[in-house]
Amino acid sequence: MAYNFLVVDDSPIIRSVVSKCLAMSGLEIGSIFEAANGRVALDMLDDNWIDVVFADLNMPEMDGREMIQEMADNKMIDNIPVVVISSERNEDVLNWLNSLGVSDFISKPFKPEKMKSVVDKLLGNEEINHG
Amino acid sequence: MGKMLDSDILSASVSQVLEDAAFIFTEEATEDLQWKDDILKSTIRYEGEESGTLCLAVNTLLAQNVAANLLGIEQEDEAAKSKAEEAVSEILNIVCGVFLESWLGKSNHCRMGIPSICAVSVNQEQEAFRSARCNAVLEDEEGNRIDVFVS
Repeated sequence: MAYNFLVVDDSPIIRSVVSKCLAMSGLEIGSIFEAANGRVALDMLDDNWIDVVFADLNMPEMDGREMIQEMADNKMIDNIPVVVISSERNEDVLNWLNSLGVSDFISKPFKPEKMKSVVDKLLGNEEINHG
Repeated sequence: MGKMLDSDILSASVSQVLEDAAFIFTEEATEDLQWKDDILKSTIRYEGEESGTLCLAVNTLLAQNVAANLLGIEQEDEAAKSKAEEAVSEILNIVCGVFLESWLGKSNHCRMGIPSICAVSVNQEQEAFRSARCNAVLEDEEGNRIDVFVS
């Protein structure tokens, strides 16, 4: 099954890196959509089927926190997992993200294997260990 | 009481991020290593239990190499040149997260600001580097100088 992803970051470089990592992860990719802020991302979520959103926090116009809050308030998209990708990695930030209902957190720098494991966990693709 | 800040933490943070994110391998160097090209200096502020500014200075050749490797394109491509400054700022942003965790631990209470970048002269860079609270010099495989310091 191929998955559609949405990458939300104001930096074109980071969007490119995340997309590249997804492509290298071994996941079956349908489409990778990109948005430069939360507002554009919400429009894309209205128009496209998205399996997982990867989002930055600090963005102009609408930041990651507002976007996550609007997603939580919209019954059409409130079940789409949001994974925050950030350079900040202290416990305050992690607790704050948990309080927002974020599905998972990836700290930079990251590798394709990490993205795959997060997606597999969120979408229930983890291999069952019978050992 | 916080951990002592030392140059090993700085150099290890930069080295790890450049290797993991941009496939650029570095080693420690000495302050007499010369700059090969114009210098770009990116800075980011952190505030909390410790406050300060983390600075990363590289030459434009290395900045273009970082952009090229992040984007998966050739260093000669126009996009590598146009995205060089943004690439260095993104690298510093990542370095800052790694640096704060290495220095103060995972339970630190520091918040990071937004990185900025500007061109500086060799003299400006030397002065800022030497007056820093803590500093380190690295070089990449091409002999390009990399300064990292906390002020």
